[in-house]
Amino acid sequence: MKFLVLVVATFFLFSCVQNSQKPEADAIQNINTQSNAEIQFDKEKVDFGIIPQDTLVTALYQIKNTGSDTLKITDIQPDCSCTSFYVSKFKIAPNDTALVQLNINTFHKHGNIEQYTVLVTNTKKKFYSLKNTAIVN
Amino acid sequence: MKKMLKYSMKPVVKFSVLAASICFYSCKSEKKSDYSTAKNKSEKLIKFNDVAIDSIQLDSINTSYVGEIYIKDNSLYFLDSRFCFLHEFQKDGSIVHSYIGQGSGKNELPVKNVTFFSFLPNGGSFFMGTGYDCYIFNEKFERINDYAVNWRPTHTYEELLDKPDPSLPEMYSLVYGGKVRAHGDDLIFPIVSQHQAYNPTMKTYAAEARIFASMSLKNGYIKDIYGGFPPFFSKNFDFMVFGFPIFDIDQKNNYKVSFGADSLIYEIDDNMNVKKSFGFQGRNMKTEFKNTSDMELFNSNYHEQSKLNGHYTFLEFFENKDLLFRGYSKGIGEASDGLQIYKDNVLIADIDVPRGFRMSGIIDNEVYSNAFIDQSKNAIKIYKFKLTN
Repeated sequence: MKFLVLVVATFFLFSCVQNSQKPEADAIQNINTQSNAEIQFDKEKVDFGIIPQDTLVTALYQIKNTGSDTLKITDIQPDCSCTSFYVSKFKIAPNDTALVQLNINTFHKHGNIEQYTVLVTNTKKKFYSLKNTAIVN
Repeated sequence: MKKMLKYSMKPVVKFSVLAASICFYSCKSEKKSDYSTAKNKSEKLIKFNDVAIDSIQLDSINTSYVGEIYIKDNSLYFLDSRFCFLHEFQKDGSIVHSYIGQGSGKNELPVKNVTFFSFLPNGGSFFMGTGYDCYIFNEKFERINDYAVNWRPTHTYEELLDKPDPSLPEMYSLVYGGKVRAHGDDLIFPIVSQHQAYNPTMKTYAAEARIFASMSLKNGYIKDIYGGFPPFFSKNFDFMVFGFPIFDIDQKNNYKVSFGADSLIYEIDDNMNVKKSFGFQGRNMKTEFKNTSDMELFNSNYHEQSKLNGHYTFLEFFENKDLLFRGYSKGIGEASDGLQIYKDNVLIADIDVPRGFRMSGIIDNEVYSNAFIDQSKNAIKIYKFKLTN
């Protein structure tokens, strides 16, 4: 009988208080910010102007390693699930170039949109932001 | 034997019912606002009609240009939401130091986007990522705790589809874009239910929903959900599109609460008894709101309506000066936003401010705005003006 009491009490207690979970933040790779890699963008912003809803638009950014060490892109972080990306290479030799392609889906979007995608690299500045803007009709 | 069993089960049944009742009610919120007790006393004694607005430019920093200004100990801080740096500036805009930053180091922030931030009463800082992941830093910007918000769910989403219950914490989520307030050991923030079976596109929402949650800063547990909408919103369904509260809390746990589309400001005690209401509508506000009955369209309708119509955008209360600031947008075709200043609940000024103006705080009797960012010029500007006596 005592067991039954305990079971009932425990059930109701735990139905109210669940385990406190640790956050599952994505692991961000440790990067060497002491390298002599340097990055140069052909542009850091693309304005698509007025575009229709439910379409896919693409922004292309060319990046060049103007430093003396290999440039490493260690992470790409769009701020919206509507943005996917493609990078032609994640390790770029000195004087070499690579392309970063950002695909923005305007499904369910409306009005002014401003989206920022962060590039994490092994340069001294470490973080860069690419901005895409549009007016979705 | 049968009889004995029957009698001996009785205390068990009694205890079970008691335990169930205690636990059931400890999970549910009964603390709703009672607006019937509110006395309205709106007074106007205008002391000035405009202010000389000055601006400062922050020193150049490596930034994502997504972020906001916060004030602590007479210093300006720009929180870069994407790079996760907290840059400290003197009040003239010169850089002092940069803290934290995105990364997996022990004193870095392992998030890709900071969605909520607040300085804490003990000098520390609170950050929240996009997945309800929370991080506490001490006054030396050392990371000392992390946890996830725990809404203490007792029902599945499917169960709530059949029987939505506005008194259950798991019905709600944070109002993104809203402001969180650290108060004592708790974090207070506005909440909204976006549940398929219960949300602001339903006519019963304004009468039943809770509007605030308090979360323990020690472990992320939602301690309570409470408060409610004034009757204004039950009578004006279309105004619910701007029904979210803006608020501040004084040292005696009194809340000053306003809502996007309601011209009144409510003073509410810790038990959610509405003590009084006061306030005037802002100048030249367009208020032809249109709500939607489709939750999928709620956000896009909100953005569309916010361009067309005016609404109240922020509320800040400075207890030591007994000054309350409430900002508002006016709607389409207007060149400026408005800012109301109340002293001891009396409106003493209603002035024009630049569009998009929010208030970050006061330093040496000067009001400082949020960040105005111009990425094409690599510039972050802050407006400020002096408070006249």
